[in-house]
Amino acid sequence: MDQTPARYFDGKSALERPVTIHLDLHALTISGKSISPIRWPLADLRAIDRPIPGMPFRLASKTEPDARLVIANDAFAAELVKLAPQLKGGFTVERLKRSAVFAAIALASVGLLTYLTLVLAPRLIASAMPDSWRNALGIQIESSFTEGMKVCNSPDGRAALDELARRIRENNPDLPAFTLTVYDTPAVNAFALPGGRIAVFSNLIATADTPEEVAGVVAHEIGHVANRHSEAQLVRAVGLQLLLSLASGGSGGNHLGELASVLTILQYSRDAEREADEYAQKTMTSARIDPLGLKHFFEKIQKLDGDSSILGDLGNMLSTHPVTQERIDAIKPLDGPSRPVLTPEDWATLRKICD
Amino acid sequence: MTTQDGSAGPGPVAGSQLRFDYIPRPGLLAITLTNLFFNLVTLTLYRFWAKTNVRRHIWSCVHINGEALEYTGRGKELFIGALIVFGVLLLPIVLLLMALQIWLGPEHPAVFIVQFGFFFIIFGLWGMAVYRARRYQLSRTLWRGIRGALVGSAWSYTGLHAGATLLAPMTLGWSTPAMNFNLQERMIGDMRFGSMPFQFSGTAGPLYGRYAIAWCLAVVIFLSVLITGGALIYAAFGNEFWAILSGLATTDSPARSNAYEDQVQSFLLIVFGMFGVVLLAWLAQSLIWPIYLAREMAVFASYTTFDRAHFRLDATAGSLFLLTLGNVLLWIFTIGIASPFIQQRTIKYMCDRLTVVGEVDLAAILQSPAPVPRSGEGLADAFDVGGI
Repeated sequence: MDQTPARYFDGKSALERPVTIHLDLHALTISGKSISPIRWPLADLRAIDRPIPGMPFRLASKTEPDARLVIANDAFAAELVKLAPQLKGGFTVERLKRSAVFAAIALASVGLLTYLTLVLAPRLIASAMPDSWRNALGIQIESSFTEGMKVCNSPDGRAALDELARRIRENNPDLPAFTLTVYDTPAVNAFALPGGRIAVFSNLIATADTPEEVAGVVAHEIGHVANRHSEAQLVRAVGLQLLLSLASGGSGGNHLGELASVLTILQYSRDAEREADEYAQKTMTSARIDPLGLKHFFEKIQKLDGDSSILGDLGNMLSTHPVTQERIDAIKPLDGPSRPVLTPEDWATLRKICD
Repeated sequence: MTTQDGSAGPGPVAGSQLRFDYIPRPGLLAITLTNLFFNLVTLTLYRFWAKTNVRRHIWSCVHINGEALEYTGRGKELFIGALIVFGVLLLPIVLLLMALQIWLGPEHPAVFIVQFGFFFIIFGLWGMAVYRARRYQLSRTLWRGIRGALVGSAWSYTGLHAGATLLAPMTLGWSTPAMNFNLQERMIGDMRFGSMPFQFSGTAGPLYGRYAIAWCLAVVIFLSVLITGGALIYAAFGNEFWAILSGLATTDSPARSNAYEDQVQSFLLIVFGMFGVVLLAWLAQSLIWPIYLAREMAVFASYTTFDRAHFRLDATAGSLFLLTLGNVLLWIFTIGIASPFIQQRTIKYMCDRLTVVGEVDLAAILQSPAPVPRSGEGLADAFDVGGI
């Protein structure tokens, strides 16, 4: 069978034109009353729907993009599909290949976008962020997660804290600006926030046996400040929100309230922790502060992990600063004598900063 | 099936009767499951392609005079539309809000003003989303190779829509029939099939009888749900209710006693009870409004003419009620997965009950000269405007 009646629509008017179509190896030829024969090369043909026996088979051609041809003859349609296999639809090697390429491009774009959002943009924006923005952000975040907490500020304790900060600065002229605030809470933790704001929880000071332990933790947090880790993490959190709202649609809503979820912002990667540890080691070496204090403190924290009853709402350092054996082993003693951070009297005063 | 003489030239031509049929094809289940899978693995980013697959299927089941409709939209076009809206509307606003919050603090009045502006924009552009989505869909809908079109101004429709949304609460809903009439008049008046316009004329008056019935029923149901819900809660907890609520609010001591646990349990019971009552109310409302909507659909169809034919939609309150009930149950029991079938049921309902009275001169319908939008429905996606 190589010819059959069919319905032809020329794409210029809605009028139906009864035609006869003729099939050869290279083309369909459409002819009818008042229509000069039209040739549709088989390679240009496109099926509107998958051919289903018993249902009219609809075709279009690149030759006349708006025109349509409807074939109601199953046998003829089957023969046509044999000669122009692209009409069959379903899974063909060609379509699978195209899907694979599409999937590869899609995966690559998702990968690129994720890299941009989670790695590149945070680093660039964090280092370009002006100090006034960093300070404003730091103040807002600090006030949002320390809401209801008492600031410990006994005058003598404050003086001891300033002395501790001064000791860390000794021989460290390149240290970034930072401010220390002690909060009265049962959690054993310390945070570095944007703008160099470092929050130390009172129970961390109580848990420490020597001022060197506290100084080590503070030096570690200064490492976060110097590397702008919290600023980067903030940009990362915002970018992730935007990515998710792009993926899932919706108006984007107001995700800004979620920015204050400090735990997501302050959960640093292992790399960030390692950088901060290295910075602390370098700083303590220059200031001749014994790094073994930090080492002991980390060991203590690791043991605390099993005993969760003393944890406050923010958890202990393990939840935000995962302490691993690797990190503990990386801390090396000084190769010379160290000098104390605080006098025993100052240390006793610092421990009473919340009274 | 009408057979036309191909040699029809200018001059008086015998018109054709038009008839709508929904003839199902196999494959919707496969589409539904494929869409579900890809939506899950792509965090719903596949939704643009999913929507396109469903439309292509459903369109190809709608037959006019035995010739199926064709949907030519692409998932890519919807995706690009969404990207554009994200880039030019949502992203700048979110970034602006963020910058203001950082600069001025979260409690500064300017932040609230911008936030309010943001919601105002969404509210104001809702009509724009509806109109542009309709324009995109019509431009991608073909019958006999001829495209549909929407040729009017999206802005004037947007303004009208915003006005309607403002008026509704101010008039306790009584402006709705009149405003729906105005919106439909604008939309249908802008609609073309190929070169031929649709026309819409009538008045909103005949809508109000049914609206009054539905409105009164809705109020009665709302009040009785409120009273039963309140009575249930009171019967279960008596005066303890307020005690429980205030107890919850003030208990923040670390020593959490058994009493506190009990209070939490009672509170959860109340929450679930209220949730149940609200769900019932929602169900009742979605089953009452078909009383009015059936009338509105039928009246609007009868006001619509195309060439020398006018439409008749045999929508009745009972049948629309059953359709809605079925759709709601289908949605609930498949947690929305079966929504392609819900769309199919709705379209089939329309096709089964739509008749065209009079004749249309098909030879006079030429290909649409209206420009074809390159991407579409970004706003509708962003605002989650309903529809197919």
